[in-house]
Amino acid sequence: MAKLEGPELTMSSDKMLVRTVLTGDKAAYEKLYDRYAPLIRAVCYDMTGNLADAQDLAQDVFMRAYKNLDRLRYPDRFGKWLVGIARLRCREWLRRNVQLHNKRVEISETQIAVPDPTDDDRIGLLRKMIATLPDKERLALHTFYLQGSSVDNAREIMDLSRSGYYRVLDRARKHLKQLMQREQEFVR
Amino acid sequence: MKTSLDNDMNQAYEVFTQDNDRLRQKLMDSLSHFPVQHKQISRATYVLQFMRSTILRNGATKIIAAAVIIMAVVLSIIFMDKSVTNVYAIEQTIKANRTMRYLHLRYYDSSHDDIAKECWLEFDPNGQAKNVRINWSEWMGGGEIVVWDRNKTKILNKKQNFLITFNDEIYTPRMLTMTNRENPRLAVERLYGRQAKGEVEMEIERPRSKSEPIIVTATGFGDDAKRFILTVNQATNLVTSLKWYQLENGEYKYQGVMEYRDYNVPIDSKMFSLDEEVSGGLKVIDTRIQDIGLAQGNLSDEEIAAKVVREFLEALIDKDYIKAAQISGIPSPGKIEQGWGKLKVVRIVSIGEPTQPEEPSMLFPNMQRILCTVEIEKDGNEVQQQLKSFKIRPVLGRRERWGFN
Repeated sequence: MAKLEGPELTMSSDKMLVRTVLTGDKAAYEKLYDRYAPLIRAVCYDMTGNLADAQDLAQDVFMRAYKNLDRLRYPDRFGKWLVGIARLRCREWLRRNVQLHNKRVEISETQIAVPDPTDDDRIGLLRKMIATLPDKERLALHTFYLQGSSVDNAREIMDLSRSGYYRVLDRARKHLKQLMQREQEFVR
Repeated sequence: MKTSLDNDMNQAYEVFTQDNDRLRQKLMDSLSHFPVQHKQISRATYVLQFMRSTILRNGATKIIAAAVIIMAVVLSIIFMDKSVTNVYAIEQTIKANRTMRYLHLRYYDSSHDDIAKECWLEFDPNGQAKNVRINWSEWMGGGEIVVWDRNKTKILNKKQNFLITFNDEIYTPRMLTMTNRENPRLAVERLYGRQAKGEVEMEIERPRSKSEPIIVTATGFGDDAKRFILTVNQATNLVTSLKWYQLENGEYKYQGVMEYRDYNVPIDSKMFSLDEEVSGGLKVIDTRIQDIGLAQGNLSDEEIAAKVVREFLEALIDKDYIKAAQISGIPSPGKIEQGWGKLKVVRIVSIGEPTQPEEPSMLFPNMQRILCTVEIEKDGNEVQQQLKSFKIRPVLGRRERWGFN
């Protein structure tokens, strides 16, 4: 999978980009968008279970962040701030969509009820399994697989030490493996 | 080192990076109306001051400014109307379809004027089919009624007087694939995605009269291209029909049409259960609990296919129609007696080599075809008779067993 950013990604560059945006340079915001949009879509997908809605909500999140950028006290924590806005925006969305309150429950029902042997469905199932993990573990996986190898960036977003981040990541992967294994046994 | 989980995870996350360029551009276009606060004020103030001091300074510039505004309005009506409307129509349709939970549709095939099948579908909030009912036409599906959920499928054949229930590992995903193909929500999203990839060209006609539908024409490229024509209700933005055409010898030939009706009108749960429609005397087979066909065990596909044919013919010779029905999967021993019994098989002459059918079956990819010759009693004489080829395949829902019905 093509990663959008490489290891050179650092928190100081977030800070620099945020400051550049505040001077009126929109191109800098495009860079921040490329850096964080996949992560924000993944966070929104966890709450909605639907890619199209996740994409719409992520756009809203970036719009909201842009409008309030001058209120961001610590520009080097842009990623964490953005994830916070995404969660807030998704909660608002869930409140407005009463039917969708049950979506996550139904997702977990679906993944057990539908054994899909094809590859594409297996990957879709994996995505839905990720959405059932605890918040912290989910975010650890999102940051690891979407933020390239910049562990510092990922751990900053999660407010964890390096070792703490790896512990959560390891737990998430084990948890996920167990879920997938259980599912495979069910399919057989 | 990359593990298989890593590879799967990378694939699972790939979807969140897709379409990034388009989405970024869309956001940046929207942001052009929302500059960062402190910049907006200073720039707006500057523009206002400039207008006041330069444009409105004398009568001539006032007239020029008015003319420019009028021109801009006229041009925007001419050009904006088409482009903005086009984008609006498709996106609104995608959005409108997202809330779809119930749907009733009819399919007409180009080969017949009559309806080919009628379906009632209930979807979960992710847009995946939860309950399906299909009433097949006589000419396309033998008049069978199929009700399906993720745990079982029931097929009622009133003509042959049987009801079969099974839970099959290939049938279920195929049913999901079929409903996904027919789901207007996904059909529009797919076309939209293909347009973004440059695989189809899309034209949208939006009549000014709200009572007339929007017509979306999507045309694929290449020699084997298809054309899809969607009609969209302007009031609801929902798709009302989907017609498709195949390019043949330079012309688009009509293939069929799906008519979508009764969006989100809740469907009575009785429609997804055949309990009230089955009459007494119906032969009932439930492959989840009954042993149909023969167990494959360690035999190869070819060996078990030959064994099924041999044991079926032997049962006919013994006039054991109950056993013949159990082996074949034909629900009624009476039917076997009426059909096969009349043949009066007395001896097996040969059972041919199993071969794969010329047209492989999607549902039964390992199906075997066997030609047999038997000796039958005819007018007091014993004569050789070649039988129509048997198509032997795994039993639906019990693929470790093989039969042929």
